Amino acid sequence: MGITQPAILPEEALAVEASPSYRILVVDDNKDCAKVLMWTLELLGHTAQVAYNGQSAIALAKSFHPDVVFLDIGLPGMNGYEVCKAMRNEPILQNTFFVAQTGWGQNEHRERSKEAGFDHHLVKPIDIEVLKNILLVLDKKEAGIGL
Amino acid sequence: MKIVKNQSAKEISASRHDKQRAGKIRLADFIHENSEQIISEWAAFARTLTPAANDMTPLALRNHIHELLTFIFRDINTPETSSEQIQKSQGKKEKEATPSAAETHAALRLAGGFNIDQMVSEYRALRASVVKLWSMANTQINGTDIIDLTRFNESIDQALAESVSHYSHKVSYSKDLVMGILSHDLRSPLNVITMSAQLMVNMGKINQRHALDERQTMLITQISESTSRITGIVNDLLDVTRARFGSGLPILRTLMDMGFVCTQLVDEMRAANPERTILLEASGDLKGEWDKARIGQMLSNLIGNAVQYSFKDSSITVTVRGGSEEVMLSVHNLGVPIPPDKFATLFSPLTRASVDEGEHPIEVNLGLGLYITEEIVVSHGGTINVSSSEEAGTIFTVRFPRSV
Repeated sequence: MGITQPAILPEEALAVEASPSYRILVVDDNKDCAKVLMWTLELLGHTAQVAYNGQSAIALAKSFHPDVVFLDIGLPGMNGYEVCKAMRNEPILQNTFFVAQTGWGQNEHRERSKEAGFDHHLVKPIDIEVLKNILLVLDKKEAGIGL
Repeated sequence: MKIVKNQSAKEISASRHDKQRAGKIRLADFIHENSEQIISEWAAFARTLTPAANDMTPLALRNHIHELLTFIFRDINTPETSSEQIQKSQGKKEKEATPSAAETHAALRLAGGFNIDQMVSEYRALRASVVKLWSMANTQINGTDIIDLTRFNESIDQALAESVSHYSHKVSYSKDLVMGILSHDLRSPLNVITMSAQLMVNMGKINQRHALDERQTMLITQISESTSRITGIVNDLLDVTRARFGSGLPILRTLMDMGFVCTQLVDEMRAANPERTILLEASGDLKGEWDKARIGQMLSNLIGNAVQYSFKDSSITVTVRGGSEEVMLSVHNLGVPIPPDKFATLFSPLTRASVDEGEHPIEVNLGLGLYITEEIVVSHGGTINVSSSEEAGTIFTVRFPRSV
């Protein structure tokens, strides 16, 4: 996986030593939520892009080729579960890691996320430490250490 | 219903009741035959109810009044047993169709912007107008008229009670709906504020160039704390709304250890209130299937309550005991006892005991905590009790059955 320069705050990226830089797609119809998560990811040294609905997210994923997708479940039109299933079927996204994000932490939502093919389920507001940990887990997974 | 137009009440009674002595007409017949005139008088009155009536068409004002009159006419014309009459006079009679004419009327009045007083005054006007018109036509009063009048009044009262009850129900439903939507929509921007504040703190940690100075750190910490407080209230509001919409709080049972959750929560409350002593006594088998997050929420409410309403130098005791049939959990504190008149509404939303401002200058939150606590307990099939006195202090006792 290549190290990519983040679009904003390049100097911060250098400060995050030894952690790999991922290409991350953030999908949320709440633009404020999407932006803040993107800024947080950029601060952590990753390259992030945003999409505000399922259709444009799928289109963007094909060209952006993200390592990680943060998907809001309550999207208008195609919901997060459907977007995840559709992306899972894209050959180019076979190694992509999917993280569901919802305002609700009930277990039934977690179960549904697992069924839809999500690797992780986060409850908003997303804690920056939790975010770091998830990306760390992904790092180990890629190194073959396992989850 | 036959409607006779453009005739005065006297003319009608004279023409339709040749067989009867002049000036004698039963109330039910009178209403039946003069409904058009009664409705006109009522509509004229309803139009005076400003500002709600300003944008109502005459047709809208007359809507359902006709049906209401039909209901009243049928009601007073139906033979009634004495036990039925007693029931109805006590307001116990079952209503007929769902929704009844009176309920439909209430829904329309609410939608039309009438307040509840205006709706009630409409019934008063109807009663007065019918009695006035009837007494003009019915000049010879006898014993049956008193019975008719009583039954007419009972009919009006029943319709009025149904309208008022339906109106209040609709209002409380819309309130809950608004509260639910509001709190749901508030969560997203709150989450954004929480994350942004966190991001700002972390920018400094990651790169010294963005490190915040002392004052900035204080401010951003305050933003975080206040936001987290609002988030808590918004979550409570959402819970209340969900509980009140009839389905109750959703409970997800998993195998858990009540003792572990108690230890966790007591530790948390100790950290948040370092000046206070919070004791925990756990014994017996405390494993069972409950909703872990909800049990934690319940404990946090009960201990938080104890902290808020107890003497500052007194300790708080949390006891959890596992028995064969149930697990008992109690939270005890010493403090000013709960006033007897507060007991009845203690678990209702938006009530709270008064706090002595001098003794407890801390902020108290909305009184949703105990309501949610009770909902959590009830959803688990359990019970919650409270006793409070000067000598023994205040103790909340919760019992969860092992099997539901």
